[in-house]
Parts: sequence; structure tokens; C-alpha cells
Amino acid sequence: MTAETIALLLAAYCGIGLCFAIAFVFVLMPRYDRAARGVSLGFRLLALPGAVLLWPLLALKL
Amino acid sequence: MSVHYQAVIWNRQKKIYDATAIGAMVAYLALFIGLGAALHPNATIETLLIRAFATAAFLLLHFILAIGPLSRLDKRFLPLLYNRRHLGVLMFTLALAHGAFSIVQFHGFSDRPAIVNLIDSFPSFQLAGVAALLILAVMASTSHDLWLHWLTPPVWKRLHMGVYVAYALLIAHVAFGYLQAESSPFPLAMTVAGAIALSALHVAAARRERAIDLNETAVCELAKIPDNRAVIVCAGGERIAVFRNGDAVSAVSNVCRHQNGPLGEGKIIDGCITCPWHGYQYDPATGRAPAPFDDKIPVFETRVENGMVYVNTRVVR
Repeated sequence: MTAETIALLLAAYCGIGLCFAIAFVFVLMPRYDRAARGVSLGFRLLALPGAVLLWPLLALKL
Repeated sequence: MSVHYQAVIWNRQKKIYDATAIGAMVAYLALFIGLGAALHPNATIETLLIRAFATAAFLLLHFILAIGPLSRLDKRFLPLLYNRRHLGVLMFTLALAHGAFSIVQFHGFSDRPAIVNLIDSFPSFQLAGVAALLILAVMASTSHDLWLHWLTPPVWKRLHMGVYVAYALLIAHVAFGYLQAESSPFPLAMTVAGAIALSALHVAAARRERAIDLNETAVCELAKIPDNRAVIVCAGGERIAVFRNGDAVSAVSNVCRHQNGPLGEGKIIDGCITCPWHGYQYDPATGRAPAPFDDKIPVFETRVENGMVYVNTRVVR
């Protein structure tokens, strides 16, 4: 596998992760976690990087 | 466990803790760059920044890894344990700055994207650093309570034990990178000394706990448990915190339900066992968190005979 292919896969992982993370922090997280309802925008942004990095784990939990 | 998540639940102690940590790091960076520029006039500002961020992050990582065993060996270090995760996020920020400057400096000026050049350098000390940075990124971004809930405590704990993998990768990163280009033995000696000191601290803390490992139910003399404090013992394969509240004794699991914090290193405040990490509280008699929380930790039967405390680990309330 070439370096370009690996970089592309990483970009795809992060790209999908970012889309998932936005949906997670604004829609899914408050829906499935009572303590996350009505949280501030700052808190949602704080949760974003973790959701980008660990989106497959989170997706499995939904 | 909280009713609603907050980014940080600030209090005076946290503000002092964070201000001290950030102030110390800013002072270190300024000192490193100032001295570096004076001693090496030919060094570019990029090189000084890369090295300043790298050494600051590496030193802070050593400090963070030392806090746990130091607190178990001497309770005077306990204040450092509180909000240790703030130090972790600060350390990751420094490491990220080092990584970003390095990638731009060493891979940013070619026709191909920097990330492709970086991957193409495999196997290299740089990729060991990138792997460590990724582990630290996962840890820093999942340090909030939210992630404990979503990942579950066992998964969260395993994820955060990755700091030791990151440390090993960083030792490789330093040994096969920076140290290869160094003629002075000082950086090598410092790196080896750091690794030996951390290993020795962890071994000493583990040996101390094993020294009070129990094969029988007698735990310790009541008089040796400080009032409103605990001693931590191992009994029946469990780590148990034995608290004294005046003449009353209670034995509970040493693991906080919140983030697996060491309850035995906390104290009794307002009649409740209070975790030293984030202040989560439990009734010493029932193990229940005060309302409106509904968490519970295991409580073991105790009895005091002739000034000696006995714990029955088979009886759990």
C-alpha cells in the first residue's frame, strides 16, 4: 500500500468521523444520554474531537 | 453521575492548579528559547520552538506518570493527583505543537502533501512520535466524564492505560531521533534517568501495597488509621479502603464509580467518603452516593477487636 493510499484512507476516516461527530454532539448524544441534554455549545465542541477519533466505537453503541 | 455535563466544573483549587501548570510551562518555554538563542546563535526559531515544545511535553509526561506512585507513597503529593487530567491535556497540547511545527519544518516544503512524506518515512523515529501523539490525542479528547459514560469504565480505563504505550513510543522516538544527532551525553543520561526513576517509583509503590497484602482478615490497628482518612489494603483479591470516622470504621471498594479514582486516598468530608480525583461522595455505611445520585460502591463488613480492625471480604453490602 502506497503512502498516498494510506493518507487517503486516513483522510476518509477523519472525514467520516467529522460528519458523524457533528451528528453525534448535536443530535445523537442528547438523544441517548439524558445528562447531555441542553448542554452548552462549548461542551459540544469539547466532545467533537473524541467523536471524530472514536466514531466507529460510538456508532456500534447506538 | 452529574445531572448535566459541564465542560469544566471550576473551583478555586482547579483555577490555582491550572494557572500554576500553565505558568510553569510558559516560563519553561521562554527560558528554553531564551537560553537556546543565547547559547546557539545559529539555531533557527523553528528549531528552538520544536525542541522547547518537545522537552516541555516530555518532562510534563514524566511528572504526570510520577504523580500516581508518589501519591501512594506519600500523601503530601495527593494535591497533585487532583485534576491530573488537566495536566494531561496540557501535555498533549505541547506535544501537538511540537508535532505540528516538526511536520511543517521537515515535510512541509515539498511537492507532495506533508502527511504523505511522513508516512513514506516508515520505518522512522518520526512515526513512533506520531503513534504516541495519536494515543495522547485519544486520551486528551476522551478525558471528560461524558466519555466514561459512553465508553464504559473498563474500556475507558484500558484506553487511558495507553499512556504507558505512548511513553514507550516516545522513548523510542527520542532514542532513535533526537539522541542520534546529539554529541553531548547529557540528554541521553537525562532520558535514561527519567525512565529509571519512573520505573523505580512504580515498583516502590507496588511493593508498598504488597507489603500490606492480606491473607487474613486482620487489616491494621485502628489507631494507625488517621481520623477521617483511610488505609488501602489488598484482601480477597480486592483493593479495599478502610476508613475511620472517629470510632466508626468502614471498609469500601477502593475504586470510585466515577472514574475509578482511588477512594482510599480521599477523606471523609461532611460525613461522606470523598474521592480525591473529582469529589464524588459515598456514605461510608451504605456505599450509596447522596441523592440525587444513585451510584453505589461495595461495602465490606468490619469489626474492631482489641484495637485491631478486621475486614470480611466475603460479606458485601
